[in-house]
Amino acid sequence: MKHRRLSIILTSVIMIVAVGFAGFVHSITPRAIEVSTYTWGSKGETVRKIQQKLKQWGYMEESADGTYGYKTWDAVKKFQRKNNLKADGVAGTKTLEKLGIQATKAAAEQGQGGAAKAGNKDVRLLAAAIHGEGRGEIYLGQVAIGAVVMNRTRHPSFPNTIAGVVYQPGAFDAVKDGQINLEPGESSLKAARDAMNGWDPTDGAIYYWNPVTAKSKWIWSVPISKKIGKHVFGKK
Amino acid sequence: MKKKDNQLLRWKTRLSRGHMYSVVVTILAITLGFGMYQYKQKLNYKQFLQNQFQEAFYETATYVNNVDNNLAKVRLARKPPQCAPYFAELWKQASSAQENLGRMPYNHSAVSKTLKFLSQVSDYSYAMMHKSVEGKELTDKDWEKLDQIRNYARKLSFELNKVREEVDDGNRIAWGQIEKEGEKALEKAKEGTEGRHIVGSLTEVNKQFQDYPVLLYDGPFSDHIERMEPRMVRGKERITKEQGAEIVKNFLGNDQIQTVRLVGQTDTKQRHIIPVYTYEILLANQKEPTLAIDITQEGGLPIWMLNYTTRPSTDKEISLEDARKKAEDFLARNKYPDMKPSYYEKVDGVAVINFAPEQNNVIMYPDLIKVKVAMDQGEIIGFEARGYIMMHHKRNLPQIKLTEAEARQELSPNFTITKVNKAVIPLESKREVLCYEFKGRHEDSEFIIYINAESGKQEKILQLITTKNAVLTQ
Repeated sequence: MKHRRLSIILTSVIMIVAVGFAGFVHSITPRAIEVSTYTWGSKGETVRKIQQKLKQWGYMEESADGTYGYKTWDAVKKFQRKNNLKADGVAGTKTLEKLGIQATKAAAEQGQGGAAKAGNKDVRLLAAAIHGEGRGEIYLGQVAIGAVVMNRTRHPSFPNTIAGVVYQPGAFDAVKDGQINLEPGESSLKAARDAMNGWDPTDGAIYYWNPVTAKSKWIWSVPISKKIGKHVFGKK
Repeated sequence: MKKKDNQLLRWKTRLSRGHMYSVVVTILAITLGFGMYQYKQKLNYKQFLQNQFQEAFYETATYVNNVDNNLAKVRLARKPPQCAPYFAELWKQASSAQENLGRMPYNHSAVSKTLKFLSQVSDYSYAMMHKSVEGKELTDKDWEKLDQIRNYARKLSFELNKVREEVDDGNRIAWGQIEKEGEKALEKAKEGTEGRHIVGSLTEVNKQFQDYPVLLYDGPFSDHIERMEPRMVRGKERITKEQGAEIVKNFLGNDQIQTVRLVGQTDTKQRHIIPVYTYEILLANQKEPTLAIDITQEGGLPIWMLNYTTRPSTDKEISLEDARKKAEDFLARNKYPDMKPSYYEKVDGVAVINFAPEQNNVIMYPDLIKVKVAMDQGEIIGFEARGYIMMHHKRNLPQIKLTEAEARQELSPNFTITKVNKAVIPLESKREVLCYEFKGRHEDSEFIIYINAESGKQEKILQLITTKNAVLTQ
């Protein structure tokens, strides 16, 4: 009886480990996260736009603060009921469409439109790199990351194109772990445009690193010229 | 219902007595099978990646070999028209070598000098190709530089061939190790203790370029670009950080500002960098600082400014004409005289307008200033004057040798001219040339063609993209 119980425990342990391993393999496979619905706790420019429209049409009175709270939820529900949509208070693709707001993806494409026609087709790619590398950063820090990519394309020790610089093996953590595949937010797109238009808060840096997490000894041999947000910037 | 309950109870007892081997074994077999499948997949991907790296390595070695060979051949073809094809070949081979080297997972510090060398060989060959195509003989200095380059190319080729021989002997390049330990190995080597020998390591190759000389020529990757001095500020009086803060207030308008805080200051010992004071500004009606600006420590000039206050979206927009006026007023108020708008771009409620100064009716395109205008109320939310600070000065313009009519002769007959200007334009190497600027049409597209006013050479053709939102040169 005893060894039987032991064997059950053992097999269970093996199974848990095996399933866990399989799950782990699965979980490290990068997946793109798409933000196309807005609900309680959502924040940002699109939420602000939703609120402005709702206010404009008299569904809510509060000012557009960019945070999806109860009032917004309630107003969205009213709006949905009026427009024969499922009244769940969640602003999804259909609700956004009725509101006349393009979802993040559409907005991104539209935002890119002008520049893309002007030949800067790399705005979207640069924005993705900025988003992956520094979406928690202050805006200036995002422009700075974009500027470093731009500076590298003009530097002889790096590839000459934005794609070459961004996808250079080992150059950016966000490329290595797949975060570059996330949908860039509006802020990243704006930062990418500023960087491409020549704004460079780093004054010509070609390296940046986080002084708290950087493990490389070599990187500290680069003289630091600036500190912006969490990163320090420099060139050799 | 009752039957089902009984069945459940039976299963439960069987489970508690450990008689469910079949179920356990099946689940275990499935998980193991799944795990093995995943593992196999992982190996496949790994192999695929290794093959990609391996290919890039062979390509690099082959291209570098070709660079070495072509450098030897071009030495024997002394007449310009015969040289040109070899330089074209060198331009392509070196560029491909650089591209492939950049694709391998080497640590940047282990290959940066090699990458730079290859960029410059490609770039230099391109400049020499142009010279040859124009029928100009290469000077002794040009040949001297080529000999220097060849010397290094030979060393590089030799080192790469050593690695290649190792690989051909059946050794595998330790890509995984290079990715993970490249840096560690490098540090060990630096500390004096010999790093382990990693097959395929290019650290030794990179060392060959330790004493690689500065290469100056007419190309965008030439070392002179890095060494250019900012004309507007170099040697000017140094300002204090308090003076800098005053400059900020005057620049932005004091009524817009709650506080100005110094957040950074460039170490003046650093080379090839314009020393600046960085300020963060808390604007009126804001809770957090949302504007940043750099003021040069010498001369006290704003180099860039960005206002990143979140703006409420609105459907109301001022016209581009009004936006241009706002930008012009801003420049005039801050004493940038004679700035003429050239092209603009409008995206997402923001217009970026480019300005260049005029001297004797000649537009100075190198001295660019960009102004960002928010289209909701016409507020100035960005300023960028690196070009202006680097390049602006009163120029001694060369004598114009071509009349406008003569310059027109250099244009294609299919090109319909709509506007003519005179302009100084920067080439990729930042060398400036005085040109006639012809705006016009060909078929459905608009173009700008620059004809050198001294030599009649066609220096540049730009395509003008006009959409509802942007007039941009490409």
